[in-house]
Amino acid sequence: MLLPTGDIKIDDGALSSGAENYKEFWYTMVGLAGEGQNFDGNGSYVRFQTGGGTQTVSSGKGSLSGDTFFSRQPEKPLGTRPAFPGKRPPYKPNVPCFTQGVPDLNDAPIGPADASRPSTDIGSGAAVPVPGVTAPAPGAPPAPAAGTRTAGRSVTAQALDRLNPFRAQEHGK
Amino acid sequence: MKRAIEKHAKDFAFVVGIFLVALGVGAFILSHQRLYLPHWVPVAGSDFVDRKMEISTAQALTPGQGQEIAIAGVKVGEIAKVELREGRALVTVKIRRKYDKRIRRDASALIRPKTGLNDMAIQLNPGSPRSPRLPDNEPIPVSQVVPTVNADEIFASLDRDTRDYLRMLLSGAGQGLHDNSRELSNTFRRFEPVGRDLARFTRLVQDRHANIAHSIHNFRLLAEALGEKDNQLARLVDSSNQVFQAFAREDADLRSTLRQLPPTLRVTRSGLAKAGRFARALGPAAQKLQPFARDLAPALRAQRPFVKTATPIIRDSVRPFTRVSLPVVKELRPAARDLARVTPDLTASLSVLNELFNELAYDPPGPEKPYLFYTAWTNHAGALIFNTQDAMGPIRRGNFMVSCSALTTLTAVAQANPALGSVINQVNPVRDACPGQAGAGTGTPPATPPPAAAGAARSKGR
Repeated sequence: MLLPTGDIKIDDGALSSGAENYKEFWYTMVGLAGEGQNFDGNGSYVRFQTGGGTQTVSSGKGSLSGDTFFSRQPEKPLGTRPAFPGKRPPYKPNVPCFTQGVPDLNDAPIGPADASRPSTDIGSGAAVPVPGVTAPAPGAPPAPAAGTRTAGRSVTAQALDRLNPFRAQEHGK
Repeated sequence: MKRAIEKHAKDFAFVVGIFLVALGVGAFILSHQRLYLPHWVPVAGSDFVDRKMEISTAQALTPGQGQEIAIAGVKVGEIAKVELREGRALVTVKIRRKYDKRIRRDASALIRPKTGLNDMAIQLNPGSPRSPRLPDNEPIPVSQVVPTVNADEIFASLDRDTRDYLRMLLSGAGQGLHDNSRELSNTFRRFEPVGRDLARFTRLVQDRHANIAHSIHNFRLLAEALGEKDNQLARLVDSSNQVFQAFAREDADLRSTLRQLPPTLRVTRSGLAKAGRFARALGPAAQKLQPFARDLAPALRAQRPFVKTATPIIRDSVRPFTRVSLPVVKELRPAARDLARVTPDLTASLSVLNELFNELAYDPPGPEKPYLFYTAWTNHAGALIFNTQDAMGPIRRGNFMVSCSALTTLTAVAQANPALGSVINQVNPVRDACPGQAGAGTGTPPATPPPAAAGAARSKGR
């Protein structure tokens, strides 16, 4: 269940990385390690790109202070994907994971751009089209896990293989 | 002759009659005069067997005088011979054969006079049927034959004074019992219960005597058997001695064992109580297992093809692999011990990890998405956050979002500190969305749902 999900390539239009999801995880790890690699006389520092621009985006009321936060964007926001569901998934740790299906990562709903529309209005939010993203038809089977090689291998071996950040290089030899 | 008989027929018949009468009378007289014909004579013959008995004195026993020997008053024979042997009288008696077979080893005889003229007779007790038959050539021993005792012998054994006192006693008794025969009879009659009890007592004593005799006999058999097993008894004694010596050497251990016995018994009792509870639970469990047992046989039969298929695999593959892997297993033994120590904690950790995976994978029914879905999208978004980089490395992309109250503080900071004000102005915070801040910056009102448009900045809105 977990391993086939990691083999799915998320189709996010122009923002698609083209890599399997487990590789994107390691990309994130590399980015987290690399953002703080520089240092000066005061020690290490983290580099941020805060953006800015002419378009204002509202976050809606915060959960702590109740204030509404604003920021600048260089272009108009198109939406949020996946849409904020407004509640947590149910907590069912006693249901064996092998009884569940592989989630369809590309069937992600699109939410409103900012707080100018209710964040829980997922259905209406999905009306915002995303260039290059084709929503799967209802009832369609989940996307096949790209690059899965499960035949004849134990779960432990597959897990170690997917957690190995140098797998691509080894297989490329 | 014939003419003479015819001439004196009456006289001849008379003479013949007288002869026949004389013959009958003579036979009668002889039959009552102890005339015994040999046993081979038909009808009138008598068959006797000689028996001998030893007696201390054969006084008045006279053979040939018809002195009889009787059993229970029935004449069974007569005295045939008296002789002296080794200082004792050896009396030979003739006993009819049909009575002889009744005589046993414990037979006893009592010699008593039938008349005042010492016409003696022998009263024979043939003995008990349980005793073996007396052999033909063995006499009845002197200990079992009681001779007659004369009154003069009794008086002769008494001294003069005793005889006088006895005479006075008898005289007084004669006077006292004169005309008191009825009272004496009543007195003797009162002795009847006592006699009955004495008879019972005597029978019991006799039984006891018999039991003692049996005990002595059995003891004799035991002694004889022990005498034959003396070597074994000696070895038994030696072995017992060695055993007791061994016990003596182990005295301390035995004492320790006995000290540990009470707690052991307590533990045993506790174990038995638990075994009882187990047995009570075992009955219902066994009943519930009956369907399983009934289904087990078909399952085992169905398993036979698999077993047949797996046999060559185990023989040709698994067994060689096991042989080859033995050295590796030996090398792994320390690691296995360490692993065994941490297995409980590892099991708990894996249980938690399993619950984590279960929770990640649970896909609720409906449009809701599982945690795994959002985890995967987090991975995707995380990769996009760092997709900008230069020669210094990756750069985290972010949004600088402020609230109106924080914007007031930032404005004050920017005015107070020109350096920070420069940085704040470069961030270009929103100023026109907050009351009183309009005009402080440039920008547009909060965004509304845009039409379809391309934009790589979508990720910044996440």
